[in-house]
Amino acid sequence: MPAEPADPVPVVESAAASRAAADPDVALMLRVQAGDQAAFQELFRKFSPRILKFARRLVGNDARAEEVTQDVFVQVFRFRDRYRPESRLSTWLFTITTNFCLNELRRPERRLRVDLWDDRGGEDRAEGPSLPDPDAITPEEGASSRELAQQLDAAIAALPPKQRAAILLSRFDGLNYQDVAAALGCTEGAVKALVFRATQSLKQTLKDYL
Amino acid sequence: MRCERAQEWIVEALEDTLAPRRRRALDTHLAACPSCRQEIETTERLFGALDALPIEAEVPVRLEQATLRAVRIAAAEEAERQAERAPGFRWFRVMVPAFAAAATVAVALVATQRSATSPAPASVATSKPAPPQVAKAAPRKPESEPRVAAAKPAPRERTQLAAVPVDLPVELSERPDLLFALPMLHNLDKVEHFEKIQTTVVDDDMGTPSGDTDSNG
Repeated sequence: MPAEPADPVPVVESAAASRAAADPDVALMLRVQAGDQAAFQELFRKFSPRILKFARRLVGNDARAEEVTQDVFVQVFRFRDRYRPESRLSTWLFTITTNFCLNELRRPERRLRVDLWDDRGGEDRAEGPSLPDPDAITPEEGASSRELAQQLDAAIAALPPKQRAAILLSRFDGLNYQDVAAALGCTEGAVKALVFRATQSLKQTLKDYL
Repeated sequence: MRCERAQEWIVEALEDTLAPRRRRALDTHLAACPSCRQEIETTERLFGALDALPIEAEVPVRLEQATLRAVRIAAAEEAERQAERAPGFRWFRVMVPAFAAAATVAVALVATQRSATSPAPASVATSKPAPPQVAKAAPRKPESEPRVAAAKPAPRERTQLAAVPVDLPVELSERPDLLFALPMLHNLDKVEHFEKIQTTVVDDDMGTPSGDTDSNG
């Protein structure tokens, strides 16, 4: 008698499993979906540094950036079942973060304050520009790099919100134009235009430093 | 190619996303246009400076703690919403207390009957051994009848269920510590016919670990 055929493995489950095997971030998020609390904490520790930095640059205020970061992860938890392994986890996370940041910037009572380099007792030192090897550059070159980094951060903060988001997502967070378009809710062509205009503005603002 | 078009394509060229045909056209233009060559060099320096900026912030411990606390609250709210939505749980919340009340009445009646017909004090599975007194009955019981102490099940008399029933809502099946083997629930069919209580012996054998039947509750 022929053996009973085995139950077919659901296609969705096997695709998710193969993506999880290929991408540790996907595997991590699948554990969060399964209710693994330790996985959620791991997720927070892995992505919160980048999300906080992104939020600070986009929102331009430390306190609000921290609130946005917290809101993002609570949202991630609440809607964890909506994540699909077909998309990169970082794209999903930065889409949520961008939405929260842009909503925050739309609130009329919030005025963008560029306080990225306020003295906070050394906290910024960890976030300061990564200097080249001190044996390879002169002190003047080092100071010049720091000044350029400061001016660059200020120039980014002065961009219109969507241009700022587009340049941050594409340059800092490794998202391709398709991912940036998904995060901003626009087309790839619109993203290219945003990045181009942002680049032109930054070059104009920093022409004395570049 | 005009310089405006060339400058539009410079960013894509530096990000290596420009289509090959356009890239060739741009290269041809750059070879002949010093202004655009300077433009592409400036853009390269800008991108280099952007890439040198830190992409991670140091996350304060209080932010992590506040976030995890907020998530725990969200998880508790979610569990509560799911419990309220479960129809089986609603049935359970309404009917089990009703059965428990009926069981208490039955226990009281049995205890009364036994104390009336037997010298030994009636044994109530879920109450501690007591001198012959009538059980504290349900609210409608006549005040004149004597009472027994602790008809309400004492916590230490409860026996944890060995196996969780399969037809429970998910939220209850995940909380086996809430499920106790109330002896009278095993005799609910007897509660329906009060005339049988006089001649029916309550089965107190709940399969306790020792296997003993505790006739005194």
